[in-house]
Amino acid sequence: MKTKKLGKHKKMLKRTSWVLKSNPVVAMGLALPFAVVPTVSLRAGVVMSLLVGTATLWMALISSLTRNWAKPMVKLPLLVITSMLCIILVSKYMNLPQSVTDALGIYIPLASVNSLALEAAARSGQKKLPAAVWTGLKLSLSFALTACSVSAVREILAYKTIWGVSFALYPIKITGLTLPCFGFIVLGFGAAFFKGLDRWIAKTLYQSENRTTALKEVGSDA
Amino acid sequence: MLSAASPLLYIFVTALVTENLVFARAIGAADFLQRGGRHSRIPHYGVLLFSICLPAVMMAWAARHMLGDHPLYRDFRWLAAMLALVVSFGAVKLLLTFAGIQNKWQVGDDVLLTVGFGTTSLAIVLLSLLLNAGLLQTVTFAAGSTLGLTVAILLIHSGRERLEISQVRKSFQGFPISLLYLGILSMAIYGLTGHPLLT
Repeated sequence: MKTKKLGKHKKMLKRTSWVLKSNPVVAMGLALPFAVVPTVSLRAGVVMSLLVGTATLWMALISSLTRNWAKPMVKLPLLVITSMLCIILVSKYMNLPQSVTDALGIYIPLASVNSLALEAAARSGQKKLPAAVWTGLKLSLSFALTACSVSAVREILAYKTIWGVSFALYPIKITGLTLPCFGFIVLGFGAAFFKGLDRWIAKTLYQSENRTTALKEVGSDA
Repeated sequence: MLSAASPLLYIFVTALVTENLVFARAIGAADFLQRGGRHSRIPHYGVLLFSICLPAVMMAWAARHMLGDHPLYRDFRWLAAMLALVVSFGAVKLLLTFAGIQNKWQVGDDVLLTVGFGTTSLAIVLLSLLLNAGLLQTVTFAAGSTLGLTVAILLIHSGRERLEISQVRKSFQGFPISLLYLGILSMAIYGLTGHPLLT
């Protein structure tokens, strides 16, 4: 029984697990509201990713810097207050278009206490600064990938546009996809699709490797 | 008395059902989707959340009432809500510690911090303030939101238990089927009303 190709595939997956297999949104349910509800267009998805990423990186940074002198009961309130200040400054000076602000609504201030940022703070609590920044970056990028994918799919299917540019490849417009319930459903099917894809790839690699081995053995017997 | 109470009842039912935090805004679902836990913990979670959010909502409402027109408050109103939450959390923590309730309910500091500073508590405070109404209406909305969240989490928890013992395809097992279940429940709630949300 050979598993060389399968081993290579698993090794490759391990390197990208933080963004694919162990994606914090799809595998752990972190920052779920931010990936499901406001991501009704790619613009909103990108802005949401930026805000969540800012809060996540900030929390990871400050958590690492305060790792030796603050207890959790004091540290977390400090983190969330500074994170909120950060979000206020970023959203104020980003000059967001009105359509994006209306789409995001209260998810803008809520981004300061998103569960991804709290997870980054918890993981970075014992790490040095470069490791903490890398943790924050990994989490932010994996959220951005999920949120932008979901928002692109929903914008294409609901409005037949992508980034406001017409993308009319098919005649039907399913505007109901902008509802929160369909955000859950799109994300659920997306998670199942990638889980199934991983299993199918592993199965195919294993079968191809062992079929080749079996054929060689049959050939040598003959 | 009934005519005086009916606007409050309308606000309470709106917060409980049509603008439910979990089904309409996806806030608060993930905590129980992943962590799981016992049914009996969920009401404790609801009571803790209510005890932290209620004073925070009242303080934030007072701040808006007194400083609403000030340009600095308009820019930093979210920070004011957050500070109200921090003060409220501190007060509740002291009360729980001195009354011995934290040990009795076996609630760790990490759970308390998650309840106090998670997306859920801040969402309840901000949504209550968005009403732009009087104190009683604001507090009623906060109470309805908290109760709606607790009931929604009970529903999700029950559904997850049934899904775990059902025959589900391997690709859908675990988180994907939970998300689909949540989406269908949310669609059912939306089907009751079909209205635009306050954001």
